[in-house]
Amino acid sequence: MVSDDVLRTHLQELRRGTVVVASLVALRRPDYGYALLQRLTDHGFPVEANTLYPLLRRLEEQGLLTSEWNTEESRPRKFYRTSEEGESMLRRLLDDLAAVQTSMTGLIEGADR
Amino acid sequence: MTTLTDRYLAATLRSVPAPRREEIATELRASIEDMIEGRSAGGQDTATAEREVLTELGNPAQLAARYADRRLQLIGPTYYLAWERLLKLLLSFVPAVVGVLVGLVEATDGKNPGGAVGAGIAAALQVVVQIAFWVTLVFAMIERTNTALNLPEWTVDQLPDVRADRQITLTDTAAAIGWLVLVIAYLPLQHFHSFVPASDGATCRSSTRRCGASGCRS
Repeated sequence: MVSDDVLRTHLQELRRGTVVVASLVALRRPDYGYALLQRLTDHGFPVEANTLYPLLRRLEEQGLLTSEWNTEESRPRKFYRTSEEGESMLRRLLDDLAAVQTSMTGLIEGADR
Repeated sequence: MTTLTDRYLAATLRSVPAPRREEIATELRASIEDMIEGRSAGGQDTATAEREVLTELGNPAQLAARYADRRLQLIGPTYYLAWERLLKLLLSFVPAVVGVLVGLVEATDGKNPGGAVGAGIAAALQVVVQIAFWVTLVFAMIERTNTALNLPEWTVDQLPDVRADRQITLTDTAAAIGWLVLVIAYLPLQHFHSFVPASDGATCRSSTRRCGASGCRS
């Protein structure tokens, strides 16, 4: 029986990169930090707030997200949206994710025989 | 009145680069308020919700490091091996050399030749601490500033020879030299100071003048 710690570490490793992909997909529709957090959680991408908020800023600095302040509501909120650059990188990432899935399926089927 | 949120924001922003401080503050405050609102909508009272939200966000210093994209390590994997190699190299001979030199100087023209060994050891230990501190400080600064060291890439040619019949490690060599030097250092030293108690005249090996000083009545 694998210990819970080992399992958690490997799951974390496996999930780490997917947060970026999921955020870029979700932000094709502009959203602010907390709402994005909720949307990702609802869709099976649980992410810590203290990971997501700094990540959004980093993606923005890399030019993969654009942002805009919305001051119409009760409190000022920063809305992020996937930029054109982000979109083209996202397509590469999604291709790679699909390739990983395909390779894994092939490997599993190959191993069965 | 300052709330917990105010204090949390202040603690976080303290170590975030100044030009982005204002913007991060506004955004983070809104995010925290959103999170508190989300929890109080579920029937929780605001004070408890605030505590829980801030606990969830975790140590402000850690959050700030993530905002600043700063790694929470003194020396990372890029420089660790170089740091370790340099430290081992310097520690393998510099403290011993300095210790012996200080001991010899103390033994030959110091006023207290008996303390020569002690002075040598003390000097060597001081050198160990100094080397460890400065080498680590320099590497920590290189890590902090992300300076490129342009170290040569590792190649297979660097693999050390392995000879089954004769394996002498650097530590063995250093220890052997260290002992040899200590023994040699003892030879001049014993002329000035007897390690045998001088209460009995027969065991006093030093010159009469020095014996008189140390209470030898031969």
